[in-house]
Amino acid sequence: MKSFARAGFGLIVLACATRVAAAQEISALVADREASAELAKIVATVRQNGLPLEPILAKVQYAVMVRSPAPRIVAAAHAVAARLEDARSALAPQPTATDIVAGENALWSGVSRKSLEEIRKVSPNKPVAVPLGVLAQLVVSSVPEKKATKYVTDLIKRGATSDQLVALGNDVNAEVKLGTRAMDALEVRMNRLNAVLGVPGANGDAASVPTSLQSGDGKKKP
Amino acid sequence: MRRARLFSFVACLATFSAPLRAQWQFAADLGASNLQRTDIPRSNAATFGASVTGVGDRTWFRSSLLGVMAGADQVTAQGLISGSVLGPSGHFARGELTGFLSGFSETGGRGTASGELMARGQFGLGSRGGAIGVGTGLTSRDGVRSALYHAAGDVWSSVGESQFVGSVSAIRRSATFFDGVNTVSFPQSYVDLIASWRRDHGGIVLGASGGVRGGLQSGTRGGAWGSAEAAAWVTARSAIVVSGGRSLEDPVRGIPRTTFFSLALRVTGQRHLTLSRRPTIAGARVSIVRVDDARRRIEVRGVAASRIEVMGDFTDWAPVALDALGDVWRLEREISPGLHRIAIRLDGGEWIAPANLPRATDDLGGVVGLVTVP
Repeated sequence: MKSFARAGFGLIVLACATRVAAAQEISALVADREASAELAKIVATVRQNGLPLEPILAKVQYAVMVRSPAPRIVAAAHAVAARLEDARSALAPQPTATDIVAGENALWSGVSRKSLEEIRKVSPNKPVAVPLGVLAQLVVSSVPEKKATKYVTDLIKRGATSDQLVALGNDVNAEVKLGTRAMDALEVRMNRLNAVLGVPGANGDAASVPTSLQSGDGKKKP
Repeated sequence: MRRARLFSFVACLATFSAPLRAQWQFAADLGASNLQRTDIPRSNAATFGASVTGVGDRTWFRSSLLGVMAGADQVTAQGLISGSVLGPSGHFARGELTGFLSGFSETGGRGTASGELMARGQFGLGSRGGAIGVGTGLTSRDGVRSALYHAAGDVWSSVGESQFVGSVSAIRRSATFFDGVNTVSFPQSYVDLIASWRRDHGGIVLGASGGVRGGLQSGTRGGAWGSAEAAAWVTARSAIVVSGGRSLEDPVRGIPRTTFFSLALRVTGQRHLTLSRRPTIAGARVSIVRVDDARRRIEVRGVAASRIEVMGDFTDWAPVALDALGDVWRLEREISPGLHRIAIRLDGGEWIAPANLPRATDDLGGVVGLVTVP
């Protein structure tokens, strides 16, 4: 218990020290020498590779908070570093640090690298942190990944705003929590978004369509 | 013979469109109307309408059908098939090529058929935009064909759950009639100005359209028209629809001037929110709203506690106390956009994931909620 507390304290100091003065020798700050050396190596490699350190620091801080044993922390930090590398490569060519962190979070949530690539493909020059977050939320809420990716990429193409995407994710989560099937919840919310996105009458807004007596499609077009 | 042709056409469309990646939807209305048409005196009528819509990445397709039976000898049917091929999505401007085929027939009449091809340029993305286009086509009425030329422009904008659309449409065509000896043809031009609004809120959908028509050349009756519709979704796939109003003649499609009031049952293949009161999630609910570009406000609702703390990756996993404002607990701070992990603690108890968020077990054994920050 005593050694655990010492290791925890050391890790906190490690986290703070790395953030404040990245170049400091960190191994000297940690009581559990083996773990601290390993963590220092991971942090150095991540920094050297130009990847954001925040997710690793957050993981360490969180680990200390939940009192994880040192070897488990090291393993988790390794995993974060690998996911950061993977996210950067999937979101190439020029992802921002926020994008890479969002990609790492999405990979951690069970989203595949392929889905990250698809999101980047439809949004090559814009931030993807919010779409990736919503995608991860949907996947965690039991929406099949392939469907979730298709819906999110469709919304990006149609110019949905960040607020609209976030609202979709939150609404689907809430419906699922109340017992609705994930796909049903997603369909309902997509239907509502379709009604306000894009060209009127050409966006799959079936619920508003068919049978007004005014004209064949109720849209007065052409 | 005509039916066979129509069936073949629909079968071809279905066959060729099946491999396209598209979301397919259908809707059908069955209702009763009180209506008056140019050729039908005011009477009660049964109506049946249906539509099929397919939306793909760069294509869309829609077909709709409406039948009105005001008596055994007063039956009208109208149908429209339209499809579009679009340029790549995700750009501010994109081209669109749209084709329309329509038909209208009534008992005792020989009917009208028309076809049109229209090229449009769309501008804007998402919630607002516009389009302009020109088209040309043919109308065949009582077996006499005439060419039509069409120019149109649309603008649309969405605010919250409402969408507003404004359109202008100018049509020039040759009107024809048989004077007993010869078929006489003369040019006919008119301009329509149209505005519409639609709001989809919960289980209620409201819509209204209105417009004015000005006849530029002989033979077109101008005037104003307007209609409104309200749909109440009683189940996820069915709604009661009330609509009423008047419409002007559609010379291109041969649809006569109509005044109507209609009550219908709508069934759709696509789910919609319903009128039923939605239960509230029990327990602490967290939401994060935008304050300005950098700052976000975390709000916790649905709990009775004397102290609430939050922690997450955005607090470096350090507990931060929230301030109470009535029933809502709040905290403002800078949070980057994207997915974040969050946990809350009530009155110094266990850290828990908020009830309204998807929860995940961290690879270190803790349970957290996942929230996306705009």
